[in-house]
Amino acid sequence: MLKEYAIKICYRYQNNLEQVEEIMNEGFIKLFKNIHQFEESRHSDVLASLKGWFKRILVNTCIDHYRKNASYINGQMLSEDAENIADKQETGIDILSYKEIIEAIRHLSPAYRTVFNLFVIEGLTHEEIAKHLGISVGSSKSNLSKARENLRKILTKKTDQKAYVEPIR
Amino acid sequence: MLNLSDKDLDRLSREAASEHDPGDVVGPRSWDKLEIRLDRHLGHVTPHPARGFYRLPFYYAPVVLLILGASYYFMRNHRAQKEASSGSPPLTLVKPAPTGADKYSTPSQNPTQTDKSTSTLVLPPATSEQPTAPAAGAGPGHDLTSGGSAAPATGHSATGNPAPATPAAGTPAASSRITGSPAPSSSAPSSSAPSSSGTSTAVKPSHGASASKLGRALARPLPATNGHDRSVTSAPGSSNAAAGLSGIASPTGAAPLSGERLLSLSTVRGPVPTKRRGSVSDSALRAFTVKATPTPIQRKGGLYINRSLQIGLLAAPDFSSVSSMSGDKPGSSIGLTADYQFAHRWYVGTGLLLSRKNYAAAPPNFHVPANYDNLPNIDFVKGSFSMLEVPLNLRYDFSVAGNTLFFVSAGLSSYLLTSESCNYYYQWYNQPKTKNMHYDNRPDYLFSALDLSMGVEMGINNSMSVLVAPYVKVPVRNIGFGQVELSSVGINFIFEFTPVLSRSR
Repeated sequence: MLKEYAIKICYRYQNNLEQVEEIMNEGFIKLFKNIHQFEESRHSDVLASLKGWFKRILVNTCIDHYRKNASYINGQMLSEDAENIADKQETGIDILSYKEIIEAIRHLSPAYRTVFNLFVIEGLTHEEIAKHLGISVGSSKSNLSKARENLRKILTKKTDQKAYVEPIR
Repeated sequence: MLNLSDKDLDRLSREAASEHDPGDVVGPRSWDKLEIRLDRHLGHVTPHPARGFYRLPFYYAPVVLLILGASYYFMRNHRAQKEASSGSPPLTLVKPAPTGADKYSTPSQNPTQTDKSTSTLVLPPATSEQPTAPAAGAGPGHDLTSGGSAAPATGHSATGNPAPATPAAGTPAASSRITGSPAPSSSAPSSSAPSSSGTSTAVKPSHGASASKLGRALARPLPATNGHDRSVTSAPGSSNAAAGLSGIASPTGAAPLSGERLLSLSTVRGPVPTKRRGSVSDSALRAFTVKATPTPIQRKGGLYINRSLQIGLLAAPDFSSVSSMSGDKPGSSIGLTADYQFAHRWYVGTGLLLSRKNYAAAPPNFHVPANYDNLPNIDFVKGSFSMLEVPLNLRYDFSVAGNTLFFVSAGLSSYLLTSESCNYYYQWYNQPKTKNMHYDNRPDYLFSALDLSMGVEMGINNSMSVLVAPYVKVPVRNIGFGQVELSSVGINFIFEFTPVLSRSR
């Protein structure tokens, strides 16, 4: 149960499955090493509290991995396919699945992906993100803005492809 | 481009993050890697002997089962010997009540059912219309019927004298009373012709329900434990039926009495007409009983059903070890079994089991091939085998009790390895290191373990049964990359189906 939960979180932060496994294993090791710090008596719903705690561990582990590798993954690198997207004003979001959205997030560059995940999904502020990632608040805001823009491009391309294959009736 | 606002895009992303489950994208072997890392980081790397403590029940289960089975077997044998040593089957003696003491034995109430003789053996002819019923005078007499078999519904009166009241067939009175004058509780009027089975001194078994019941009673074997079927009553006067059947003193105060006896019908094999009524001595009774010992009923044209083959579905937890060092996790076995009965109580069995055996081994017990110098000096090894296991066993059923039997089994198991995985724990410059090796296409090891098992089989119905059998597998030869002596304990749970192979007459 915790394994699926861990994969679900790590999967959004990494597009390399080996890295996903590595982060997940590290998260588990941290969990078991520090399990004595988790006080069951302080929580009414122990499982939910444990999951929340584990999620924080995993997110921090993802951040650590990002920072460790930030020296050579700095900047965003959209592939040619991602950039070569037709600009259409149609809304095809209703034919997008959750899987495609997650895959689109995973296709973002590490810097954009991390900031997007932390701000949008984890709910951190730019100040907190800046503190965690060791960047300025402005960089965090900039990365978020560019992450959204690239995400739209990727999703637009996906909807165009789907609309071509499966016309909307 | 999508005209999604930032707010919508964020909302969709959050929904997708919470709803989308990518599944096990890292594969099942990630747990093995995690286990190795956990062992390394948390320090619980050395398999300690206390882990074997949890397996003690699996080691002792065969012993406990053996003690239970042997105890039951000897108790059963002891009881049978005790009964056999008594010589004759249990006899039911009823003290003759004083004349007139029984209000139902007064001549005025049932004059035709009295007999002055002290003991009678009255067996009606199979086709006779009227049994040889004594119509003695007013003195106390002896009555004889089969134990509850003489249903009054046949309407055949042994004495020819209609009783004032007759129990109806199937009523408790009719089924529980042997003879005697009608008890107050048996005064339910019968819808049939006036019958006197409740009061008769002989039984005619050839008609109707009573005949069939009696036939069954007469054809039934004489188990030594069933005292109800071989009651001998001695009841001067019209003794109470209940006393005669159940061996309990009659409600009239009759007490057990040695001496003259009355042999019930159920102790004989068939209806034999006799006109002589006399006392039967103990020796004569024993001789008669021996003579009347039933032989298996063999009917011509009987249907013989061949159920020699048993097919089973097996599941078992498996605890493997190498030289008393247990593995961390229990293994498992699941598969199909087949047993064929080739002789009375003897079976030969085989099967195909998909097994996984986990073990841990110390370096002295893990023999790395000499030409394999890729491994550093290891502290210990944790490994697992995935294999197809083919047992070949001989089984003997040594005790049967109802639909439950005990059995012992012995044989050899062949291990057809499909894969082998080893985690090597070693020191590298004083740092604990771990290395995982996976070996495919392993060789097969025929007859690698001696399989000893004993268990109990409980029948569900004619075709299905459940077996619980603790087992021990003793290594006969070394197996695997490390040539380990792998021993296993566990408990087989088998659901068996016994199909009908053939029917013949």
